[in-house]
Amino acid sequence: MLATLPFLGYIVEGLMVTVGATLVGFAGALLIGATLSTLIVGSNTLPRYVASGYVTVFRALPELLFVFIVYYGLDIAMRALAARIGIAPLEISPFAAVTIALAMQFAAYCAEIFRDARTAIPGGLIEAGEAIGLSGTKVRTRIVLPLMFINATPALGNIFLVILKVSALASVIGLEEVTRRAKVVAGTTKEPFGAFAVAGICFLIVTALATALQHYIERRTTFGRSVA
Amino acid sequence: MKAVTRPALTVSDIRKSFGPIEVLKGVSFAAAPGEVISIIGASGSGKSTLLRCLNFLENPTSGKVALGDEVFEATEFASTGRRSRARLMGLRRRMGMVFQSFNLWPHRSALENVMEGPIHVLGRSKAEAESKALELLARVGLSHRAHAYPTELSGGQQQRVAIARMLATDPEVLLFDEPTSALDPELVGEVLAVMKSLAQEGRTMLVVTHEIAFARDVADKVIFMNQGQIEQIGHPDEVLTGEARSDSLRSFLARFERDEIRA
Amino acid sequence: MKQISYKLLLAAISLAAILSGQASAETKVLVGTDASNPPFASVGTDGALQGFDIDLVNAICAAEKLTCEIQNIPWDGIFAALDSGKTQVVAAGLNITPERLKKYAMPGPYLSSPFAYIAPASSTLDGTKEGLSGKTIGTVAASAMEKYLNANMAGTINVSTYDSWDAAVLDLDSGRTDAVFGELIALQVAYIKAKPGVYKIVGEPISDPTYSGQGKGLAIPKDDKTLSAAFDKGLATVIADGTHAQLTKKWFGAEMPAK
Repeated sequence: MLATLPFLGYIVEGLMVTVGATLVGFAGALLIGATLSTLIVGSNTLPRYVASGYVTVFRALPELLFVFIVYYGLDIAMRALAARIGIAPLEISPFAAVTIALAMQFAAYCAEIFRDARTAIPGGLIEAGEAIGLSGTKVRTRIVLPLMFINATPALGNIFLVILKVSALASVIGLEEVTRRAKVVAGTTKEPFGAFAVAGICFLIVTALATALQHYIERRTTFGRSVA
Repeated sequence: MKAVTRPALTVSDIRKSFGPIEVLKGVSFAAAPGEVISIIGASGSGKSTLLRCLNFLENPTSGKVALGDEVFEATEFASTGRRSRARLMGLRRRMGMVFQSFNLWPHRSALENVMEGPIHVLGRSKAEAESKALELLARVGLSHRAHAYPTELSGGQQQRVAIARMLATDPEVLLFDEPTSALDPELVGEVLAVMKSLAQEGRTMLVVTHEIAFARDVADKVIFMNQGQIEQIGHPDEVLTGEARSDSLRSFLARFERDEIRA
Repeated sequence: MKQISYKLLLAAISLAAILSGQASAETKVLVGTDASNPPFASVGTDGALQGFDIDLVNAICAAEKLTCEIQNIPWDGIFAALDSGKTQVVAAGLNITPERLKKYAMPGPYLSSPFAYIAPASSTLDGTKEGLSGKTIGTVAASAMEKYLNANMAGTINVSTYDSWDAAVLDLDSGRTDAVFGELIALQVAYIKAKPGVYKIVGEPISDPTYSGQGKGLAIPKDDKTLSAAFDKGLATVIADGTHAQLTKKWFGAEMPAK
């Protein structure tokens, strides 16, 4: 453990990358997921099928595989495209690759969560809004979205924690997040337990903070319901 | 030019079909300003659907609804054009509705529920909306519960908040869709008392209800619906106890008389 | 709805910013290594890369006046990175093998690298084929060492593979394996020198031209002829001027020949 201590800062710095990738990936997943869920419950047939297909495919794909597809596959595709139209190719950084992969993959789960959260809203609450003369937009922003968010919070909290942990997959493509740095330090110090323990504690701390935040949000949104 | 007693609400030949089933088979009546009309009938007789067709929560298949002079055709809201949306919102603003299951928004306090309409429908300032909402909550006897959330209120209290919420957008016609059916018997009285006071204020009210006593004591007119049609309409005495009652009305009323005797 | 499309736009812009972040460094030579393999490559407490491979690459780049950027890439993905162009050179203590020579130009050798077994200091193994019969030997998957074992020791020993030397040595510590088969230099520095009295080399170091005998080299895709020529030339320079000998002394404790 002693040899690991000087590397503490180096490993913890990786936590910034882990949290950054998780937050960006999570935000992307929420955005794409919300869009998908509106398409799935929408009345247009083609977008509905496309969105349902998306959810099916991405729930089936292993996360690691998709990280590889984005990082290597997209890069090769961009290179080919750039060569054809004669511009310098954009390079996909490991950070971009992993956030794109996480966002796209977990959007599938978020879409399901949002759809369930939307279905759980009693129709009467929406009718009550319509009956006093609220516009369609106001009904959405004042009634549907807040209730949907409240219903979805517990499940979204879980998704956040899963993304946090799955972001460790980014270490295989060289993103210098906590697990990758712990592995490098383990190799350097020959004290794998020390390095991995530090990484584990990092994840514990972030998870504890995220859980506390989730409970705070849930408490703020009980609105008088008794909480067990 | 016009007659002095122009109806507040005129309903002309409203029909509604769900698929092959015709639930409303041409319903027409009018309500004079300040008139209280009770609509009674067995479940499935179409009385709730009728009420929901009046503010177009259900789109009638055909027919007309007129609020004062303004006529709304059944078919005009089938499309979702911007102008027809605006007209529809205007119609709904002018017609308040209270639901059987209260339908208060669970994420807003009693006060916020009532403020929603003034702010987001009438465009009032927050301060203005709040003082109006507090006034209305006082009107239904709930000033002390203004900051409670719906789940912290009894059913009767929730329904009184819902009535305050309906009044907040200054509607001309009030629609009550079985307002006491979901309440425990001991909570029915407080809601009926509020409704009675609204009637005495001279509000135009349509009340779908199983409370025969309310129909008898408060209503100016009673409509008995049977199989999607108005079977009988008239003064409460006439409809509830008169000699000209139809067989179905008699057997419908008999059930309530038995209940009242037992109670 | 307007708000949502605004957010989408914002996301697209920031995404483009992230994507284009690396695109400008066209003139840099990207060199990939896995910094969990001291003394060839590891990190200092400040996170800076260090090791024999790092110093050697820097010396070669200085000799050839190339601007080089060394990237820390996990071993599992290092050849995928090279093949997809994410990195241009791999300097990760690679052994020159016929198999690798089919795909890559391999400037070198820059270090000879016999294989050896290490075992706990108390072990009675003698490193001979007979002595190892029936034993379980740990090594890193897809390494030249694993291929050597599969070709020469199949049926005699059980091979257990790991994704890193640390993992292999962890199982040696726990007694799940009897010895670890690796490179003499790496084992010497990382385990024997680092933890005196815990491990020892058993038997004689093994040199086999097919698997180890060609020494260590860099890997550069065959079609990048300019770059591999530059590295060939640069390596020759640093060997000739004594820099190479100096670096081996610094990192291995003794001067070692390139061949």
